[in-house]
Amino acid sequence: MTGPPTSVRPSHLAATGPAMKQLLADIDWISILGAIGASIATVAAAAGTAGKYLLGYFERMQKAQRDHDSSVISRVDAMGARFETAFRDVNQAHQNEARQTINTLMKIQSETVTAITRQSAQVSEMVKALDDLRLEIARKEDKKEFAEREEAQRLELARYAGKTLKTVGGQP
Amino acid sequence: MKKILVVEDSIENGPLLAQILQNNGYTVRLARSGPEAINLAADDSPNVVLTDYYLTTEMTGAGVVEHLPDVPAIVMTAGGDDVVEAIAKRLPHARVLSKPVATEDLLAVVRAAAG
Repeated sequence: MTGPPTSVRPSHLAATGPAMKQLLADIDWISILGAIGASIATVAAAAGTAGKYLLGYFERMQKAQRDHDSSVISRVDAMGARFETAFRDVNQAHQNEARQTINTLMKIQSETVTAITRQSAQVSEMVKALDDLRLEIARKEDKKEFAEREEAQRLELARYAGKTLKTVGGQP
Repeated sequence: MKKILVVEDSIENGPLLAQILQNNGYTVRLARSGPEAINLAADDSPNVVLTDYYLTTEMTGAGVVEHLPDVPAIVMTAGGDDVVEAIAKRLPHARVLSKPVATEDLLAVVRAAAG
């Protein structure tokens, strides 16, 4: 190798002395640049690996987070379902209790109405029987006048019937 | 032709009433007691029931009327004003007549009841 390429030679060294020139000429720039390139590649590879690792890490974290979120959601759903079931059971129990109470009250009401109706009918029959008795007593106490009225009615009917026979039938 | 159920235990007044009503264009069935009247009404529903209040059986004319709630009723009685008032109170839908009743008046009441 005869020296470094001009393009990579520092300009401020142009005016240095011969020793310096020789030193610069002796440096294996290609090797240095190759080493630097290799280092950069190594660093890049390492960075790539780290990036991949980080990417994987983040993906795993995201997955774990999603799994966690799903788990939480599932647990909340399960709790909600259990709460709903429990609420429904309690509600059903209250409804059954209320229904039984209403049925009992309706039965009592029906029995009460039946009893009152029966008693009312009995009282009504008793009142009628008393009325009949009272009127029968009145007839016996008023026997003479009663008989006179009956006789007067008989005479009235007989009179009318006789008149009708003569008028309508034309027969005596 | 309107059907009249006459309930009268008097052996004289019952037939006389039946005869007069027939002469005035009604079909008449005559019963001498409350139970007999109810049986006749069950066989052939009358348009009007005309009954004496005091009958010889334990059922009065009021009992007959109460057994036939859908039939217009006329109740006659010789019991006087107090009895008429008591019957009218017990049977608010019935026409109550105090004996003796002029036959023309009775026929007018029957016509009104028969509709």
